[in-house]
Amino acid sequence: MTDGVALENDADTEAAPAQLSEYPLEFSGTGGEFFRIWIVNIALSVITLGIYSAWATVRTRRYFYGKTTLDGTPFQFTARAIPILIGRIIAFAIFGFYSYLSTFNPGYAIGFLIFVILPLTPWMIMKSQKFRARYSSWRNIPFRFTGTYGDALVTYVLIPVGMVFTLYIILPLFWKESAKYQFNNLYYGKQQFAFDKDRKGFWSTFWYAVLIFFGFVLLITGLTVLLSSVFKGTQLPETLAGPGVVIFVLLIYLPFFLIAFFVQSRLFNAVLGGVSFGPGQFAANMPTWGWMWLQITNILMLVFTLGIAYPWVKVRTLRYKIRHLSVLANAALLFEAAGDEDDVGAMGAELASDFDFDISLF
Amino acid sequence: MDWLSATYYSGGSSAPVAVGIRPAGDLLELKGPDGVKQIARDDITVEPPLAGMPQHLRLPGGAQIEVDGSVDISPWFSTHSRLERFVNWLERRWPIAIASLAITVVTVWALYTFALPAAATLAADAMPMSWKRSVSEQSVKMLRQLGFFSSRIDEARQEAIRERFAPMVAKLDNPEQYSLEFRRAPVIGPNAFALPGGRMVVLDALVELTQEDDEIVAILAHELGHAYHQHPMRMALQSSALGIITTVAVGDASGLASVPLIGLQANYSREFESEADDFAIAALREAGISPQALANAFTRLRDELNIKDEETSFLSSHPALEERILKAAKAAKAGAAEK
Repeated sequence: MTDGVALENDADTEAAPAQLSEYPLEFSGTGGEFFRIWIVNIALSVITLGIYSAWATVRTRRYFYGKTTLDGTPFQFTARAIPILIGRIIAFAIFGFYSYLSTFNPGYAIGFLIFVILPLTPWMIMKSQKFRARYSSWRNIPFRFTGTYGDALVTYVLIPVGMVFTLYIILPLFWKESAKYQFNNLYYGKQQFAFDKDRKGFWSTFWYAVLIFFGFVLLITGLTVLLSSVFKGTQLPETLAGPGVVIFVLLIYLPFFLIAFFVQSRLFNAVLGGVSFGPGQFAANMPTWGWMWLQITNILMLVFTLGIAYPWVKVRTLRYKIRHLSVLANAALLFEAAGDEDDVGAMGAELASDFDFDISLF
Repeated sequence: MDWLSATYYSGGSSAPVAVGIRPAGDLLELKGPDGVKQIARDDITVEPPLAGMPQHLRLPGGAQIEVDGSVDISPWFSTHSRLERFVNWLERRWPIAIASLAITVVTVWALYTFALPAAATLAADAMPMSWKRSVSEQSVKMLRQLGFFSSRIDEARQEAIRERFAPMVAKLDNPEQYSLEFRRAPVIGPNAFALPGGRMVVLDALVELTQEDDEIVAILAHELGHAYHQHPMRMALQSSALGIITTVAVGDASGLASVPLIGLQANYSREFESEADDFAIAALREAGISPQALANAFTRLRDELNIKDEETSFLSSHPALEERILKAAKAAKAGAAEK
């Protein structure tokens, strides 16, 4: 499986479609194993009042990276905890200051939000991407992210602001632009990733979601009218009032969850299926119903165990995603590291890397 | 020692190279296609062990060796992390996982119940008066937006209540920081509350409900207790601290917007209520008013809320209110016996 046919060798038979072979992408984490890692690290974080949480994050990410293998080799998360801790302290300080302002001076708080947090958001997104890429590696070659502040500003501030003024009808544009930002700026060594600019599936996902939403509105309205005419005048026993309210609330929320799951699975396929890299590409085939069922059972597991099932939920979700993602290539997965000459353009990032920190809150 | 089979990655290319490694004195011997190389072990960094996964050795110059995780090779190297090796030891044991769950629950509970209120009290004491005033201004602005109007209680009654209340305030340190306002808020019903910074607001519906001035003064004494103990500010600090912690932990800032409303919701803990009650009982006695007035006012409120609003009565903690009525009544009896 690992011996794909290299195109370069067949220079004479030009235009012959290259044979794509699949390279196994596997996730082998288990819920029980991750539960022990998760809870031990949470306990340590709590008793150190959050300071250890940066080390906990590193170990958790190392677990998920390490349990994911491509062509038999695990991914590696190579970041150190200290920069993550610094990022966390900065985030804590910013939100603390905002909270202070909104308590003592809401007028300034809104100004702070618009003139400080908003312009800072693209920078934080860009910085987090750079950090993550830089400290993710496979076969001892790290990823790189070269996205700019300007592109992040357009993608994550201007388009979202535009969405507000267009009743969110340009949401698909946002999905597509963020996919472009994430992947067109991503490198593995010298190899750049590319997102197919003609990739379909964003607008159709959006309109299907809108249709499903109105379908639910009709259904619930119809049901309400029907039920109220059937039970008109009958006094329901009071013991039914409690469960009745619960069922009603669930009925109201369920459509939103289902629509969100629908969108998630369609976007997974639309985004990841549109990513290619030199000799290869990703293929994504996540079934919508399967994903919905997975997510509904995830919610039930979390609710009925008061959150203790989280590690199992996390593991089975990732396993499901990886199972429906494959890596195809027409040549062996052989890549070169970015030499120093390639790094000249990334001077700024390199310069900043001494002060690298991860501000992402997740 | 036997060669341990491993994979070598140069760092320049992703091509894997099968190698063998073994420790030899201060050195690590590396057997590859080009023969055996020796590397000083002190120059090698090793990844801390995790879940029995492959471990990576970082060689000087950027190359890396991947070793399957069945043997923890970190003790071969002086650069290994003691802390993380200990954490790895913890992570592999189920009894420790169960104990960690218990430790987490108990610690979070203790932080929430003891450490957070204590920190809030310290901060409220240390906070400059001007900050408290500005919070109070914010609350008043918000009250106006919520539909708080000028009071319709006639001036003479307002004055009479103020006159009876004033001596209680005068006895405290810095009496000038406390102030009392009458307001009308049809949407809220009979209520009174203390805002951060010493401002107290009493609503017309409450004044109308409590026929006797003693009763309204008793309620005001209770609110003064909240103000004296800085409960509104302590509550606000606790909730905003919780807000920041959950925001940073969960990564969503929507929880922060609601902070200025605190003090209006006035969902005080039992401890705060009982502190305010104790203050009120003592203040009433000193002013020569029987604490029975407080019991009566609470009873009236309870009956009013019961009749008017079944939903509220379902949510409010009734046994607690009953206890408080009994406590005030008992204090009244004890006071009467002394005389």
